[in-house]
Amino acid sequence: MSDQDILVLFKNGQREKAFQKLYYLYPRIETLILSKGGNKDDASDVFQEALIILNRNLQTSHFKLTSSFYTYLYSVSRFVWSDIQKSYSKQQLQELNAQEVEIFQNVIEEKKYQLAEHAFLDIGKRCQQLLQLFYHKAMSFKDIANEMQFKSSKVAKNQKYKCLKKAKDIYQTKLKQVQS
Amino acid sequence: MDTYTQYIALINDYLNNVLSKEARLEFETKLQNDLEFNTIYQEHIIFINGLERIDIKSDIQNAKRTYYTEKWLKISGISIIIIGVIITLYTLVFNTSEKEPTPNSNTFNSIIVDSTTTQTSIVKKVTDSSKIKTIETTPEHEISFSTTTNQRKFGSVSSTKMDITKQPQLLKINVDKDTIIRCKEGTILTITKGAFINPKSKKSVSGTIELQVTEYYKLSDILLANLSTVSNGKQLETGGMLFIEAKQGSIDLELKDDLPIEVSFPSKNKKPGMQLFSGEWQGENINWSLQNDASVDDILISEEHIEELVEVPFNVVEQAPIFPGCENETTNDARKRCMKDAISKFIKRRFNTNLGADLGLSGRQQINSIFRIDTEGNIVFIQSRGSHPRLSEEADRIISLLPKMIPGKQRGKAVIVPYSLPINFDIKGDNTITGNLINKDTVSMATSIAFDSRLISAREMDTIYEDKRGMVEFIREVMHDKDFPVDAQFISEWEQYKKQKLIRRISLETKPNYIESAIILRKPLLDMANTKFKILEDDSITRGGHIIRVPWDKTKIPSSSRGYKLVPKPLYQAGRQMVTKSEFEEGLDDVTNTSISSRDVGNYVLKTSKLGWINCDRFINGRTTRIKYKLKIKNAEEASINMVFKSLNSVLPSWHTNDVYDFRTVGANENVILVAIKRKNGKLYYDTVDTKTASNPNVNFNFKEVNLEDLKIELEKLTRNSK
Repeated sequence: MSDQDILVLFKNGQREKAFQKLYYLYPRIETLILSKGGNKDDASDVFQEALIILNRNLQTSHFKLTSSFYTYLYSVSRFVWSDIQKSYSKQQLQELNAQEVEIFQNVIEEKKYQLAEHAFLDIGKRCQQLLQLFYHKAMSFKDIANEMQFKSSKVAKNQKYKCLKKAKDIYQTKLKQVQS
Repeated sequence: MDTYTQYIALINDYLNNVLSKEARLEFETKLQNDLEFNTIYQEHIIFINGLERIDIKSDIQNAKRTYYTEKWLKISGISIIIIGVIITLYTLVFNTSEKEPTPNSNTFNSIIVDSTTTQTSIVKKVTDSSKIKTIETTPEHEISFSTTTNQRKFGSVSSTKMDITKQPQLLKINVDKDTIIRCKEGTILTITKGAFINPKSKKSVSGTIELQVTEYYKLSDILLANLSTVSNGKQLETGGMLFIEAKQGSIDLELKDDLPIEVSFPSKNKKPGMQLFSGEWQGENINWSLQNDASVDDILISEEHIEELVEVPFNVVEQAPIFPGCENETTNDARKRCMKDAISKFIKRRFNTNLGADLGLSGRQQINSIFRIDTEGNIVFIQSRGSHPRLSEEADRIISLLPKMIPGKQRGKAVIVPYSLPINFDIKGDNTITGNLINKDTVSMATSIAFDSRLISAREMDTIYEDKRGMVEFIREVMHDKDFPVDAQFISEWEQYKKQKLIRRISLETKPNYIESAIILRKPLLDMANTKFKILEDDSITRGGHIIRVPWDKTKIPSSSRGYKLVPKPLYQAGRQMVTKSEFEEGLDDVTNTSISSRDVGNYVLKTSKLGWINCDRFINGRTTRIKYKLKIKNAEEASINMVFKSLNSVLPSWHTNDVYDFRTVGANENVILVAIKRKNGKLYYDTVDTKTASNPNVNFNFKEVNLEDLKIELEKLTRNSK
């Protein structure tokens, strides 16, 4: 399957299928990570992160894939891994080209999202479900109330804000931990 | 809190693009001017993205799982296909070469190809009430690849098996008349009218029936058909095998019990004691069992035929063989004398007389040799017995060097002439040797021995030499006179009498399981000159006043109902036979020479009341020590291995489980050829190993691929090299 076909899959919203095709590149990325001293689990995580970044970029209108998926995923993975290892020097950063800088920024951005994600994972199952339904399924509070057996949509709405606040608090503490 | 909630709601609306144009603008301005609002916005974006990660991750995990499942499915699918292919190939390979051991003893692993191309040209001659049909057929081997299961009388054949079968001769006969058929390789079948019955109705059939006859005389045919010569574990020597089938339409016919077919097996080098056996396939090997109804009559008939062997003693033969250089002699006697002298000279010149001294022998040495000059003039069947085995070998060596001669003739036809040759010489104390070979008397006496050996039975030879009991002694014994003068003339007369059946030597079963040898003399013999016999009125015979014979009383005379029970004569003893290899080959060429008409060769005439597999055989007894013979062969792969005896017309089968081939018991120190034929993937592989039977044999085959034609040629060669 060519890169173009995969792009079409992304555009048509068949994200899962596209990921599935991209996984054929995984063995090569795995080799890269293994050669840099990671283990298979690391490789799997890195590739996942690279896919997330790719997906995020594809959603923004200004992103244009200038190279093949493999090249892109390869460089993203490299940065992700370097970031995990905290192994890049200032000199390396200065030598980066425009595209690489972008990727680097993406990776840094993604780290924040990762923190937010972790915060969500800490707020409890019910809160997670509520926020997911609201933000991703774009359900109305009425439907959420039905789905999650709240007494009314108002209760659902209140719950949602509570959960969000809770998550944000956790995020803030986490962010402080990371930055300190 | 309230402002925060409002802000979030506003941001959501903004991100969801549900705000009006003014509201959007207002929102974006607020975002730039209100730092607090901006922070909340940024934070919220991060949250939403973080939340999205969960979603993306679940998608990725699904994709990953699908990818691995697919990958696994692909790998396992491919491996299943590969394994499947391997298994298919494996089974294909082994199905083709495998002869599945079939539990039913009645199954038979080869197909008999229906003859569709047999051409018969029939020549009819009318003699008396019977018709003689000479049927020329072309028995071609055919390879048949059968992919379906063929059901035949003898069992089924698994798919994609290759088999080689000899094309049967297809004969159409009218059963309303007596019929004599001469088949391609010399078998003569005499069929009485109405001999065939329908097995169901038990009634004789009439009209035309189809007879299918396959002859197995040649070693190659026997081996290719995977036939062997064993009767319930006992080794047989064969005089020929046949497969006879009779059909009318689609009905398999049987023979009526009291109207057996007379089968005459052609044989050049006739051996006594042949009996008829019926074959039955047991697994992949055939077992022969004696047909009980081979009655005494039949053996007597065969005995008569033996007497007609075309071997004429040197003294008697009308036209003696001519030694090169003796052609110019005019009379027969002169030629004989010339030949005797030439042979004497020949031996004298070449015989290594130092050998005797080297062996530490002294005194008078005698080596008795006998050989035959065959119809081609070749020297064959050299047998020697000397006071030392090395002397015998030396004699064999010299005799084998004798030049090719012009064969002797009787009534204008080339015949085999036995010739006996005593070699005498003295080894004196001082090691000087007077090689005085042969005085005339010894020659004539010894020659006289030769004609008694017309049945070339090694044991007879042995008797002659071992006991110094030649024809002369024999005559003297019969005459009850130690000093009876026996000269060449007397012997030739004696021979004539024998031909006229005035003298017969028979074996009698006087008591059950007790065989006695008896000589029948007829009256004219006793009237012969110098015998001094007197025949008294009561028919008893006296000589010099002693009664030497009283007539048999009635109890002693063999009744016609019992008949003579002739027992097999002593058999060949290959181990003791001093016949050189090359002579064997030549002797064998003779046997396979089918140009000789059945009249010229002795036939084994036997009667069969069974169709199917028929074998003219005799048991091989009294042989040397028997040993168990088992082979372990690495690359056998279900090959069939048979043991061919060089000295006998006998083929032993092997029973195999995996790589172990069991020949059960065989005689020790036999010169044999192990013939292995492997059928695999529709191809033939072949190898032979020339060996001597001994315990714990170590034999390896080096299989070579051959096509059928080459295999046949190889087997023909084998025929020549063996026996």
